[in-house]
Amino acid sequence: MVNHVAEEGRLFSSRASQTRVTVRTRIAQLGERIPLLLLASIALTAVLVLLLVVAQISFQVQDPLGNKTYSLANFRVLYTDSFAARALTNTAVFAAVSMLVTFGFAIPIAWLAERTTLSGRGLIFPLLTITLLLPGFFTGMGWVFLLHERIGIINRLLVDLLSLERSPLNIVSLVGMGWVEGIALVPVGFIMIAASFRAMDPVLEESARVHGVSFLSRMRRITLPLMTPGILAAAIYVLAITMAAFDIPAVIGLNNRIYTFSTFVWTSANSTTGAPSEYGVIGASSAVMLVIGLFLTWRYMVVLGESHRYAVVRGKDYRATLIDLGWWAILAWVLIGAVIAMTTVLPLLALAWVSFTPYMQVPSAAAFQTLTLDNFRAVPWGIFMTGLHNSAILFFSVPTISIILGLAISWIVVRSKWRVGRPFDVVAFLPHVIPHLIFAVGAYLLVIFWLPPRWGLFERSIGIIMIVYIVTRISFVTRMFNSGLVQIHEELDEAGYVAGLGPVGVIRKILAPLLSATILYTWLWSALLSLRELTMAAFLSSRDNQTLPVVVFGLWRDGRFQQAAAAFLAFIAVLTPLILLYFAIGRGHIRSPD
Amino acid sequence: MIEIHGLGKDFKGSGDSVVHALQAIDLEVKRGEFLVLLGPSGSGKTTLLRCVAGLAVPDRGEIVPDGVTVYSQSKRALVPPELRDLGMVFQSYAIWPHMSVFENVALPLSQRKRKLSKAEIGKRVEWALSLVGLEHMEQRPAPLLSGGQQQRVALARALATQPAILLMDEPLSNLDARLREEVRKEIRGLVTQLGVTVLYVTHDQMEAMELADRVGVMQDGNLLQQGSPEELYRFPAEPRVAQFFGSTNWIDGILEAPSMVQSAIGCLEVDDSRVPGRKGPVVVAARPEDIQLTATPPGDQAGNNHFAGQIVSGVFFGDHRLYTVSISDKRLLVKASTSVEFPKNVYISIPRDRLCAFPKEAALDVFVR
Repeated sequence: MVNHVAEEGRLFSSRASQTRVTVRTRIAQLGERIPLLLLASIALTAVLVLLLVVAQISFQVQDPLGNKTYSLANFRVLYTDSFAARALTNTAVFAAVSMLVTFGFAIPIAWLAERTTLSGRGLIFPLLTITLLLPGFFTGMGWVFLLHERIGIINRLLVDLLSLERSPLNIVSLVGMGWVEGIALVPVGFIMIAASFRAMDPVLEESARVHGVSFLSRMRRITLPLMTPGILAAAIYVLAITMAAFDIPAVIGLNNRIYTFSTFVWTSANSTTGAPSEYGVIGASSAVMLVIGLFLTWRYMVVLGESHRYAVVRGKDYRATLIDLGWWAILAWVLIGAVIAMTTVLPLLALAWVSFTPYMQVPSAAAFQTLTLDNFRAVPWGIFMTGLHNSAILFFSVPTISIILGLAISWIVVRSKWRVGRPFDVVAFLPHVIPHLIFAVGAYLLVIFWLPPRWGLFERSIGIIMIVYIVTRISFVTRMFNSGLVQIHEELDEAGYVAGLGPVGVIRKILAPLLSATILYTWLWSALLSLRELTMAAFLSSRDNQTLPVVVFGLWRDGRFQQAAAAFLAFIAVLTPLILLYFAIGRGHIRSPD
Repeated sequence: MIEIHGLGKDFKGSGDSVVHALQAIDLEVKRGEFLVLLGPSGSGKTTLLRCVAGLAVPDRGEIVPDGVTVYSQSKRALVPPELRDLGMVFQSYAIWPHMSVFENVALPLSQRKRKLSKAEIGKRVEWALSLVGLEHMEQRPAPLLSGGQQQRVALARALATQPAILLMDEPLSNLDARLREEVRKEIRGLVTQLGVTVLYVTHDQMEAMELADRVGVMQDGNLLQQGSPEELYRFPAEPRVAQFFGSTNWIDGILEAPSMVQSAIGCLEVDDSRVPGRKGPVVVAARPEDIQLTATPPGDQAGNNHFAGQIVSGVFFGDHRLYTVSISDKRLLVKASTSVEFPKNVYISIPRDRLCAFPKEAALDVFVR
């Protein structure tokens, strides 16, 4: 009995001392799990904060005395103000046209690349990737030079050739802008559709063929239904891009007062008189887009989930016999050539021509005599160098930081077995389908409404652009790492823990080396996208934090079209070696960015 | 050396159901002991091992290896795997493919504040690799190793830090049969030489018998019985253990007197230490190798049960022949020497001290399975 009491006492005292120790030791025991959780939480909090600020400001109404109330007033303005309402309906038309154009080209080309013996089909992927890496606004600039009602080269050639009264085509219209946007997005659509062609076992088509089903019936009854989830996913993704597309509507529409959602928001933000109501309207219109974006995200996840239903157990090394096109191959290459010409070659030629001519003119023998470097001399090189400097900072910092954050998030999502894994995954996915412009608007409103004035310098620094770039990169980076991590046998990590490595050690010494190819690819792709990005930078830029695309866009906005063209060529000169490097390292092994 | 008290772990099953992967396990492994956890897949043996390693977190109970509480629900203590000083060999070997053999073995030596000099690490790696006979392979990249070599590297890596405790999770299951036998002997030899305490998981009873000082038989998250291989074989505590440890004939009967079972093949005498305390329906377990087969009626030896029967079939296995003998319509498997030819009508005798009787209800789930 005495013994028993003594035992009991010991037990209690040891328990008490244990509790005191535990608080301290527990933190020590968590060790490297804390920085990982911290990094991931900060990144994902940033994602949510930017979106929540948009939501908050959309309901906030400020009277002239500075009193804030919350109501639906901003949305009412959006609904009644003809300018805003017009911008939103314009966006619908613009998005519809560009979706039609994108998939009208992308689906047949993807089929050609994946299901036929078309010679040289291996080139389709790299050729279209180049287009994807070039800034989208350049396509817009090029097409203005080609098809503008007054100065468009093609229009003027047609007028002369056919002795027309007036230009037959006009790019400066909703349909024209939708066309250019659609053309510019063909590579994105192509990559996604090609991926879903590849994921579908060709044996399903072949068995239909063996059973005597004709080509068109096969397409209609087998191929397209099986690919519906893939096509839907691509459509949702492209729709999310187009509905908030900024560069092409800005380059073509802004100077001619045709507004879509993004240019409307941009104009409101830039012409603001400082009246609080205007911020509310910016917030409200962005909130509308945010709701659509969230809806699309949800649909996207549902569609992706469904696509697994169609997964077919694939035999080993089975390669389907591809369809021989015969003489149709010529027509196929004409189609592909036309797309590449329209997305890249023609706009680039037009820009090059314009940048060397003293005034707008149609190419001719006489015109060649007048070529000059004056436009290049007139480019404000000081500003250009500032842009180059800023873009270089983004080029290196954005992918590096994104990758570190992405590894932390993906480790938590795929490996940690913590309960936060699933919610982290969902939040990390948000920037995938929610338009990036919304995040830029969020940052813009955050600076105005939440940051103390002494942070004003930050607002003008490259830092804020960097943060928004990183936040919007998180979905891509985590998608890449999630799928990479799943393929690494978990016992390799476990052997690391047993050997005495903490989670950070396991990531550094085991997972990162094994993921090195994915990391390199992800780094390069993210770096190149940081160079080409205009939308978010244009939204957040001021004098000192302009990026290269913003510099070119600024010249264009000022009506200095030829200098903009010249500056763009200089930009291309910077970009070209990097793109070559990308292909050298990727060695044709390029994966879908999505 | 390793003390485990009331260890429990649940997994979420489909829907709201909960799977009890471990239910209140009590286990003690003594210093220098080789303890094998034996059980079918899904019995919880690997989960138990992973809980000891820290790779899985239990829900209840306590784990105290080497006097350090690494997990305790009541004391709210949990030490992560990297801070538990253990060696472990994984089923897939988990050799890091981007490193050489040397780097694989050296990595644990540079962790846990060991502060070893480069030369010391080199010496320790050399020592560890010489244990497994791979001293000339230091610079070989890991992907160029055969399965057997990877297995040895994994063992060297686990032993390099000279841990007091070595955990092994089905380390031989990916080797072919011949190699498995060879490595089994090596492992046993090394463990004895180094005096390390081993917790070893397998589903192979032969492996358990050859390696273990003591075996713990697991099923459905329970530790059914622990003891030396011979104890488990001779004195299974319940039908499930008997079933898992070697093949067994099951004979239905009714316990009528303390050592008397009225069974389907006749009256069986069973040692009274091996019958349930309560009269009623029982099943009697008889190992095929414990049954003696004779062509002529055996002399009346005390303590043996005799029956006459007919041989239904016989299968040749090289070192023995396995007969199916029918006795009053009940078929029994009998293991016999290959050197004797038996006529159709034979006699069997079963020593009473080799039979085990279990209450019928305890055996139900064995036969339902």
